[in-house]
Order: sequence, then C-alpha cells, then structure tokens
Amino acid sequence: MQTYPESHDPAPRAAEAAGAASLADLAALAVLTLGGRSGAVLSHSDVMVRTQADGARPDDDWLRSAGELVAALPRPDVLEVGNPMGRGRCRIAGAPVLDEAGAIAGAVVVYGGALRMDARRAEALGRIAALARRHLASHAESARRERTYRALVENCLDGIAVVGRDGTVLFEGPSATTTLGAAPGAYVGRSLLDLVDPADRPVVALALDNVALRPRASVLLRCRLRTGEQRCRTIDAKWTNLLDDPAIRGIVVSFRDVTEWSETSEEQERLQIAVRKSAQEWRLTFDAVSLPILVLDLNGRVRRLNRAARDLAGQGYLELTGQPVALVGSGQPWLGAAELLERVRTEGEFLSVQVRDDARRRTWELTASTLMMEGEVVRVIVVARDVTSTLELQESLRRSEVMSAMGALVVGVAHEVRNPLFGISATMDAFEVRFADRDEYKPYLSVLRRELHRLTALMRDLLGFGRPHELELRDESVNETLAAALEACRATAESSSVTVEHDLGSRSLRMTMDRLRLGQVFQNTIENAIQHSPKGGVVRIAVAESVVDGEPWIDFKIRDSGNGFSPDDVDRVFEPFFTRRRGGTGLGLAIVQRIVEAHHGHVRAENHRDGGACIHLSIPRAPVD
Amino acid sequence: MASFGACRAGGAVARGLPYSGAMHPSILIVDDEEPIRLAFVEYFGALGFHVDDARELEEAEALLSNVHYDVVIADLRLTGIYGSEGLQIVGFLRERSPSVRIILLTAYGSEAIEAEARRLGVDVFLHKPQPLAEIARIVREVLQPRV
Repeated sequence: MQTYPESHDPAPRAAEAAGAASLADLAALAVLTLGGRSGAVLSHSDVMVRTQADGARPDDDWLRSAGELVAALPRPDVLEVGNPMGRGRCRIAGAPVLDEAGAIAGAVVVYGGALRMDARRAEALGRIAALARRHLASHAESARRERTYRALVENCLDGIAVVGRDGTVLFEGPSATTTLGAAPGAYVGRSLLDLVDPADRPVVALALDNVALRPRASVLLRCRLRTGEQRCRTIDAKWTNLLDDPAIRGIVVSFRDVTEWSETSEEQERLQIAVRKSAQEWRLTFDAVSLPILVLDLNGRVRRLNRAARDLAGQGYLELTGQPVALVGSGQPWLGAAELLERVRTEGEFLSVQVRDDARRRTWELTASTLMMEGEVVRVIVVARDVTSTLELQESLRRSEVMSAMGALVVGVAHEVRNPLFGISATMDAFEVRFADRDEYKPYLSVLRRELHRLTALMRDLLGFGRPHELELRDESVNETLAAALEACRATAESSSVTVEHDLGSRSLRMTMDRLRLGQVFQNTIENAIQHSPKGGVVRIAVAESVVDGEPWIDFKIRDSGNGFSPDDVDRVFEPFFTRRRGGTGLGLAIVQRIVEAHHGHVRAENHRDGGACIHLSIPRAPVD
Repeated sequence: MASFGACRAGGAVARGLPYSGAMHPSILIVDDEEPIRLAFVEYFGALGFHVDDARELEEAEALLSNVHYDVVIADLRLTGIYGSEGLQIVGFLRERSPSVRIILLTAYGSEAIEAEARRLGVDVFLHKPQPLAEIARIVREVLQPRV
C-alpha cells in the first residue's frame, strides 16, 4: 500500500488555515481524508496525536468505518459512533467529499473532543471538504497518472528496475522478471552485481560508481547476466542517475535482453570476418596469377583487375576501375579486349583471339569468358597471355626444322656441284698454263673465271648456310674475334672507301663461342654493312653488355651509313637468298642468323634513329643448353 | 692414262724405279672425275712434274705398291657419297712409305673426316674447288725438306 508523504496532503494545512480559530473549541482535531470507496486513509493530521499525551490514535479499521459512515452523510454533520479507545460512544464530525461528477469520493472525518455542529463549523467542514475534494481529485489524477505509468512500465518490453547507489535492487518491473527468469520481486533487496556474470562484474561496478557520481547522467552498458545455473543473458542497459529525484531516489535501469540479437550480431561479425578473409584469399589468388586478368561489365568498363593487369597498364587500382577498357592503355591488349567484349556479347561465351602490339613487339592471346548471375550475363572476364616468346620459339623451331630438312639437301647439292666446278676450274687452269700467251683467249678466260668464282662463292655460302652447326664452344676473346673479322673485311672496306669503327675501347670481353663461326658472323655482317654504305661512309660497331633474366649477354650493333631498310624489307633481311644487291648470294645474313641462333642468341634488323640500317646481334655470354 | 693430246711434258712412267729424281718430282692424282685427272696431268706436267693418275682404289694401290711418288693427291670419295677411299689410301701409304707427302682433296668436308684424316697422317686437307696454282704452291711447300 503506497502512502504519500505527509507534505503532499493539503488537508491538515487547510484545516489549520481554514481557521483553527473556527474550530478552536475543538479540544483535539483530527482530520482524516479518506479516499475512495475503500475508505483508505489518505491522510491523517497529527493534531490528535500531538495533543494526546499518550500519542494513541484510533486504528485503521475504526477510521475506515468512521469514514464510511461520514461518506454516507448528505451534508456535513455530527455522528455518534463507538469509541475507538475503549467502551462507550463518542462523537465525530464529518463531511462527505464528492468528485466533479457528484459521486462520493471520500470523506473528511474530524474526531476527538466535544463536537457540536453549528453553522460556522459546518461551513469550515464544508470548506475542508471542498479542499479535500480538490485534493482527492488531484490524488485521483496522480493515481491515474501513476496507473498510466505503471501500465507503461508493466507493459514495456524493456525491463525496468531501480537500484540504489550501492547497487541494491529497489524495484523491479514485471518485464524485468521475464528477463531475469525469477519470481517477481525476487531480487528486490539483493545486489545487482550478484546477477551480473563474474567476468563483467568489474565493468558494471565501475559503471555504477561512475553514474552514481553524476546526477541525471546516463550510461549505456552491455553486460551478461547470470540468472541461473545455465541461464546467461546478454542485456543492453541504460542507467540513469535519479538519486536526487524525490520521486525515484534511485538509479533507473532500463534494460533489454539482446541475447539472440547479440548472438546473431556476433555470428554476423564472425561471418563478416570469414567473408573478408575469404575475399582476401581470393584477392591474393587473383593477384598471384601472373596473367593479366580483367573483369569487365557489359559496357566495357573495368570492374576488377589483378596485379598483373595493373602492372601492365602502369596505373593504380582506383584509377583503372570504371574506365573503359579500350582507354586503359595504348594499343594492345586493351583494344583487343574491347573488341573481344563486343564479340562475346553477340557470339557466345568462350572466345579467343590473338593480337599484335607492334609498338612493343609483343603478341597477346586474349581469352574471354562470361560470368552469369541468375541466368544473365553480368560480367566478361578477359585473360591475356603474352605468347610472344612462344611464337618466336615456334618460329625458330619451324625454321630449324625446315633448315634441317633443307640443310641436308643443300649440303648434298653443294658437295655434288663442287666436283664439276673443280673439273671446270682445273681444266681452265690447265688451259691457261698451255695457252697463256694467246691474247685473244684472255677475255674469254676472264669471263669464265669470274662466273666460276660466283659459283664457288655460292657453293661456299650454301654450305655455310645449310650445314648443321655443331659448334665448338670455348671461352674466347671477343676483341680478338672481332679484330680478325675486321681484318678479313679490310680489303672490301678499302675498295669501297668505307671506314669501320668499333667502341670496344679498353674493354676486354670474353664469352663462350665458336670462334670460327662467330668470326664468320661478324665478317658477314660487317661486309653487308660496308656494301650498303656510300663511299666515304662509316660502319659503326657498338658492343654492350646486358643482363637478361639474370644471365649476362653481349649485344652487338652493326650500323651502316646507308639509307636504311625499307619497311617491306626489314623483316625479310635474314631470309635465304633475299638480297637487293646485284652480285650477292643473299645468304650472308641468313648464315648470320643460323649461327647466332645456334649460339642461343637472336638477331634483329632495324633502322637506326640517326640513319642507316642496323643489325642487332644478341648472344648469351655463356649459353646454357 | 689420261691425256689431253700430244704435248705432254714429263716423260713416260718410270715403272719399276723406286725413285724418280728430284728434278722431276712425281705426283699421283687419284680422282674418279676425268676432267680433274686430265687437268692435273696437263697442268703439273707443264710445271715439270711427272704425273700419274688413277681412277679407283685398286688402281691406286697397284701403282703405289710398285712406284714411289713424292706426292699423292687423292680425292676422299671415289665411289659416291658414302665412300671414304681416300682415307684408305692414306692408311695404305702410311704403312709403306711414311715419307710420301699426302694431300687429300675433297668436295665433301666435315671436321670429323678432317680430324680422322690428320690422325691417319695426311699432310694437307684441301677443299674443292681449289685453283691449281694454289695446289701447286702447296705441293712445292710439302716437298721442302723437313727440318
């Protein structure tokens, strides 16, 4: 039963104010306000208590019945009732209290002392009754509000409790019970900390102290409650310090069971971590693939690309994402990828195409496949493979196979031709020895000699070209080999008035080579350069060391001072019998290519940027078979 | 015996004589090609050499058994592309006359053959075609007394 502190009750003050004077003849005055039909004593002035020496007061039952009797009165009046203190009868005065509707709301009872009802007393009682009515109304209003709040509290999903500064539970709302899983009010009087999971207790204690220090402050906390052997619930609570609010005088704890939600969110967090980790694994895998991979949307924009693709494009991930693939870089393989995307959209899901990047001299094989989601194509995946070296290898192999087949034939032919050639030249030698003095024979002999010489040179070149090259590889001096070749070309250079220079300087280079054959290579290349340079021109030989895949190589560049290769010719200069020069066999450079490739090197022809044609020879210093 | 015609310097074959004299060094040319044999006989004859020629291995061996030649110039292959009769001649000669100079002349070259020939004791290994003047120079060179 809730009682209101006395200070709330206006009746005693009213009584005193209304004129103790008018009731002065009352020896003792007890004013009761009885509320409601139940006659609950709402307030009880302590005048009676004060004036009675022994401090006795009637018991609540007597007061209630007195109140019932007064409430039934039609107007303020005096009644005779049984004496609460003992036997006999006594008088009480009272006035019913009516609410606005005119229904009986309570009674004001005055007892103690001799009571007579006169007009003034009646008026005073009436006024008290009116005051009491207002009081009751406000009480009813308060009661109603209390019921409202109680209803809210009781029907709230969240648990509501009030704890003291030390954590003692002062009040427990109904839904708190559900959460705590105990009988209602079971925890009242116990420490909140008993409920908290031991692991969380320190934090909760700290929060409690913290909030207790700051009036009106709020704190949010999540902790676990252990409300039974097996029961562990996770709650989110808001603690509000209302210790200084006379209505509460405690810390209001509003809490919510978030066990499932927290479990779900913990699980979600685990899931997220797993997904993130999985994504990371995929990204690492994606990046570990050395082939550039592009994932494009149907508009041709880059959605994803792995590290190899980024490196190829030379830009970062952020810059590239969202760009149209054709603009990612210049030339290939980007244009090829864009075209492939178009074709895949119309033609089908798995397509492959080869594109050549002339600028960088690379050939790419692009493969596109589609990614479907819910029956629709949403992405196109393009994988690029650099097949340049594969193609070159295939080409080289093909050449080598053709050469092997041809070589045997060529060698056979050359050998067979040499005998009749010798027959002719020897006969001519014999003829000359016999008829050397005859002038009229000389021109004929001269022509015959020249043509024979051409044939001989051709046979020599054919053999040099067609013979399978079993190289005798030894560690030799590049300087000496080059010097020997230069010496061999000296006559040709002089007769063509061409100077030959090299930039070896003071360097002394050595490499593993077949000295004879590499000497042939230098000789053929230098002679070729001399033949293509004008009178007074210069043939320049540049020698440089380089590193390829960690292995040391030497690069030779032989540059003439002629007009350079025409674009049609530049890819054909190493073909057998390809020559634009009259009188040449067209085998010189073909032989060069064969020998250099037998050394596991490669050759290239191009025009030097400062003019003239340039033959590049690149040979590993120590070929590994 | 091969001949171009009337004028032939060098005299007849001195059969049975073990030594034909320093003034007219004797050469044996062994080659299955007639024009080559003709040319050698004509040319070296004009230079003052005594020249005999043989077409095949047996003929060559028969001559070599009976006559001493200062220089033997032999083709490697006398019977087609797989023959190596020249090497046999070298072997044959080296057994009998270590002092005879041997020049192996061939249209077919390979380092292996060349190595084998040198191992057998060939003095010079030449490739066809070769100007006869050059061959003559080499012949004179090999005929120099050994130091």
